[in-house]
Amino acid sequence: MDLNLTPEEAAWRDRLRAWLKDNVPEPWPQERRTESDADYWQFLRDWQRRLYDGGWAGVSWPKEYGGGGAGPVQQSIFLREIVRARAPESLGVIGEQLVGPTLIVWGTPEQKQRFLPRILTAEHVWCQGYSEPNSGSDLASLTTRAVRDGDEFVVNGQKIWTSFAHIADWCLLLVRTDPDAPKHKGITCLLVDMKSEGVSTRPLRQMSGDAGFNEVFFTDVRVPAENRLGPLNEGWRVGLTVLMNERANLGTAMYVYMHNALEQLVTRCRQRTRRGRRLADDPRVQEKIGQAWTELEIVRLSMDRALSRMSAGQTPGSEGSLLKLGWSEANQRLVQLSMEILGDASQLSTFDGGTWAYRYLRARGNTIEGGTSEIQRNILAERVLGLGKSG
Amino acid sequence: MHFELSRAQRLLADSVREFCQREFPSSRVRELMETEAAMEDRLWREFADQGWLGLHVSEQNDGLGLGIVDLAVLAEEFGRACVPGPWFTCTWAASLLQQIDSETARRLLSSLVNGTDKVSVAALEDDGDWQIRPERLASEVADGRLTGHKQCVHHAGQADWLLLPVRCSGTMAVVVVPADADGVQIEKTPGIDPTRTLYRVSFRETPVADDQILATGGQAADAWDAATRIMCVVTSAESLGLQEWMLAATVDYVRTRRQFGRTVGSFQAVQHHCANMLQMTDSARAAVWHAAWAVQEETAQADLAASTAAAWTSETARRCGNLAIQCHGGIGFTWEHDLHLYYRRAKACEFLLGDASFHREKLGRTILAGAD
Repeated sequence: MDLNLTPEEAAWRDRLRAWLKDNVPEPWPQERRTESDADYWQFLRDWQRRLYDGGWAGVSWPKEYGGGGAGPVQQSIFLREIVRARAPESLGVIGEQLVGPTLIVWGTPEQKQRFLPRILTAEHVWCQGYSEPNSGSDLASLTTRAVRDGDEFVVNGQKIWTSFAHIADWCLLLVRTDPDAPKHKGITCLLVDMKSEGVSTRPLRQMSGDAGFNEVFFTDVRVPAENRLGPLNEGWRVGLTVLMNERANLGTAMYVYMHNALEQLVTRCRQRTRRGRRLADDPRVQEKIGQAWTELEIVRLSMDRALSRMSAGQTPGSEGSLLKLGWSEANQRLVQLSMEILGDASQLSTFDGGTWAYRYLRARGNTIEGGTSEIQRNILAERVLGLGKSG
Repeated sequence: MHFELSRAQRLLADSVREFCQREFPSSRVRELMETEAAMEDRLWREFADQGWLGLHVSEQNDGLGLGIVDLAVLAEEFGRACVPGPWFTCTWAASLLQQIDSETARRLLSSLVNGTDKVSVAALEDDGDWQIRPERLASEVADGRLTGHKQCVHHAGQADWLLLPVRCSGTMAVVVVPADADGVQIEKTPGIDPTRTLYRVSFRETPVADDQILATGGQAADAWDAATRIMCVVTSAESLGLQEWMLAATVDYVRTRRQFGRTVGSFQAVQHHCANMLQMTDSARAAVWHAAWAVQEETAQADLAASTAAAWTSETARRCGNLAIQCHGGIGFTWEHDLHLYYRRAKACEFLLGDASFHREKLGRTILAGAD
């Protein structure tokens, strides 16, 4: 066991730290980071571009695709240094962490050349067209159709809960290409230009007030056949690659988010008083802060342990489900604790720009998006514990 | 970064597990827990021969000179087998004695490590506060005499020596007292966990010579805190072992138990309980290993890491136990089934060195103390 960095890792961290010190924009809109704010997205695109120019985009991607060629450990260092430097979050949640790694596994050389560099420069923002109105947890029952017509597929159908679709340039889309095959065997993955004729998005207003995710409608959308990712009718396997990456990686973004929230909470506890003393001096508050901190540490350590296993060459299998179950519920407890501590004022839009109420509401989505907690538990029970559906 | 056990540590885990399977089947644990000592001399001798009474004690002091991660591996296996007896308190005494630079402490440590003498740590006072600070300690040495009470002392009835924090000239001191000294009264007070016998120890004008005062002031407080960090790791690692056993037992059971014409493990309600146990056990392992490493390397985060592990495993062990019993149904509620041994032990571990609430408050205080 050695949780210290190797000299090489430490040197890499120091280089990154120095770069961040010179490049993190100041100030940047940390408060009230809603998902619908156009300025905010442009700001993040600019930041991503700056990371790319500095050589810090896609640190764990292979070098041949413009990445840093580093391992999962550097990925973790990167994340922590981003937090430490109070840098903006990465826009690459979907492109860099989900679509890119999937393209690297399944893409043709042409697809990799065409798409991967543009993810890192934030020229292309990606979304993933997965869920449908009648296919949520049972994703494989999806019915958006793609019919081959010459050199093209013609796509008709509807997706829903599609995050970033309203600003995305490209979509990784799961479609049904063989309606007669068993449901997992008739799905294909397509890369669809969101500017294609027949694509329309309608933002869905979330309970948090945001319109960060969308309904996406496909009406006779023509997709060049060369934009098929992976073999015909094997889109389910391609899609699973995305989901594995999603579960394993989204925790890193969440860690940054939670860390920032706790830091802000601690600051408020030092500033605000109740019953004639600072919140920070109230043992009840101290215990709650201790709990929040513990939750955050557990997220970090579980992630580190998974990273360590991955860098030892073990494939991320069910770890993703363990991590996702962990961080999603940890964040929900964190937001609950935060509002308990701060009290009535924390619900106000005038208090910290309404960030606490926003975080509180947004957190309900955590145990639903990317596979509900119930789906994660099914996966763990079946694949890790060997508890079958029948018997 | 390497967040895994080394090959040698995995071998250690295997050999301890084999030993425990041979020597501590649950039938044997049940026999032992019916006795006050909860341990037999032959097995204690084996512990000493294996080096398990001084795994992390330096080689100059007759220990194996291994690290806290190794100690956590041993403790996890002892938890998995629900090993009864005074190993915890003796390991605590060794951890404390090792921090103290005194001839008496060195001699005592040596006789503890080679299995000759048993030493129990008597820490907790009647106020039940695990934050041991001189201004709040009621036990006091004055004019060479010790007076005070300690509760929940492991295996004081079989100890040759008692090691305790006291107030002495307005500061904290760590003193050692022979268990049969004048004015020492030892009363058995059975706790929830029969695998470790608890005692109330009273001292009334017990003579304490100068060389029995092993450390005072800042030195005593530092030694105490260092030993506490180590033992937070040990009790957390034990809790992890308890959880591992409860998870494995539950999964085995629900795979074979049939109701409604199918195994109960095929029902989603039961599967989700098991998945939750798995998730809690996995996260507990990350917390325990991190704490063990941080304490071993004495990093700046060692204190926080130890409290985080203690706070987290206290909760996860109890909740795993709740779910394990629930998934077993009626049989899980019987004396006959071994689950209650683990459930009881988990509750006792939860209290040891402070429960989750205690550690959270301590963590929160530290985190909030930084200036803005």
